[in-house]
Amino acid sequence: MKHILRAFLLATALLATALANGQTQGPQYPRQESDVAVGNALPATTAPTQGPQYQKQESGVPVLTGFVGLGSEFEPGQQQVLPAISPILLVPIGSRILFESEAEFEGTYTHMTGQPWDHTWDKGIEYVQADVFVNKYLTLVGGRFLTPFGTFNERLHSGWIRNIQTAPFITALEMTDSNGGQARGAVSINRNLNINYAAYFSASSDTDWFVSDRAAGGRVGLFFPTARFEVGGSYQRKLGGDTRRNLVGVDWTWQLKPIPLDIRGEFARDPLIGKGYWVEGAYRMRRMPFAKAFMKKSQAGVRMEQFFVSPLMGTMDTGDMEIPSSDAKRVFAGWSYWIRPDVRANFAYGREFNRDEGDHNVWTVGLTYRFAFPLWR
Amino acid sequence: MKTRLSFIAIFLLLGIAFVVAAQTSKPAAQNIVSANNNTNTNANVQNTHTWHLPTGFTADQAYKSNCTRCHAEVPKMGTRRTKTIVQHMRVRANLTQDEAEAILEYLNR
Repeated sequence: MKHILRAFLLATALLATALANGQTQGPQYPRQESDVAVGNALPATTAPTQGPQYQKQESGVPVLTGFVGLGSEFEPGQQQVLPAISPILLVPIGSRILFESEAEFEGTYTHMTGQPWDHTWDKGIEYVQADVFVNKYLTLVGGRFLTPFGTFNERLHSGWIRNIQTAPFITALEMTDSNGGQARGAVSINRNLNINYAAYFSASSDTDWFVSDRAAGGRVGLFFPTARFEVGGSYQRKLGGDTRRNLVGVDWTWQLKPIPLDIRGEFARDPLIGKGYWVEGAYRMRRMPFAKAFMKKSQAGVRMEQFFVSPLMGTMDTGDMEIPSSDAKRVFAGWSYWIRPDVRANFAYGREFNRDEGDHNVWTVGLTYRFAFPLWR
Repeated sequence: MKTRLSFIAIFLLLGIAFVVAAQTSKPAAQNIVSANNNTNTNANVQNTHTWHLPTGFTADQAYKSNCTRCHAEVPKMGTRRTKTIVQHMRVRANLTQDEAEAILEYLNR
């Protein structure tokens, strides 16, 4: 594994060199952010011979954001109420450094037929990281961060963002946290292509709230802005103990232009646990010719997914990973309604087909409130 | 296997490095104008509103092609809060700097 780490360090050094070289030789763009107004520039009274002057732009303010949610899930013989709160703290220091942290508290109140209610609370730090914007193309991240494998973990895991409340099966493989360092960024190649990347390493930790595996990996995404299509590939090498292995993943997102339809999906494979995929479509109902006031704030979604258990899974301690014990597939149809832009109600019906556990329905109902308060003015 | 992975990692990151270096050593794009060449005040302000975005791309399009991929609704909030959150999203969604600045302007309109 030393080969990979050496290769990673060498390539990172080369990348940094190339970026530094590019910075010094590249075109001189107008100065931005900290000393030149971009968004709110006001005309300054300058003589024609003088260079332009701009009003200093307002700086960012520390923000406490996140969401509060209450969900419920009903399956035959089991009812669950799932309260959750995820506060996120964002503290910018100038325009080049951002500290960000998210804690997550998720309750599970379960009632099985013929038994009293039982409950547990999961608490954890999703991320606590420092982001340093080195230049236009490179951001260095240090601390505990969401592992950049696929897109669900980083972009869609928050309860107030995901279209269907129940997470897809394969997100159990990718929804992990890493303690270590990361280099990431995005580069615009031409009018039709942006490349974004993330490369990271993580140390092993058993500390409460900061559990992570020893691993290294990355994700490269190709984003076609005019087509509004992104496809990404992820790789992770688990380095710990006897379960060293390679995980791979592919993700895609496509926003159709003619109609307000988003299609996204992911594939992931862990040789010891299994492989699977999910595909989801979400349609904004604002063009419906009836019940316009209601439809304008509504979105319909469907998801299809499959999971194939690895024959080796029996050799693996899967802990509390929420994965099926045998091959399974699941379909969902859901509806979201925004009571306000920051308050969403959603409902979904799903049917799970499971070889060993049998087929059953899954009903979910949820309400989320997304908040964002400035910590001072 | 390890050696092969090493080579893949090296080539992947070298590819990114090459692309970045090539990108930054290009002549200035036509929609980036040096502010020092301008004599008209309004033109100066206008020029600070252009980014290295695809030709014909506006702040509105930068918002639509990035933010709405994940967010069906984006609540309106104050300018300074928005700036912090866009900084956060630049990392989370791997936005280019120019996209992030264009989106910031769109959200602060």
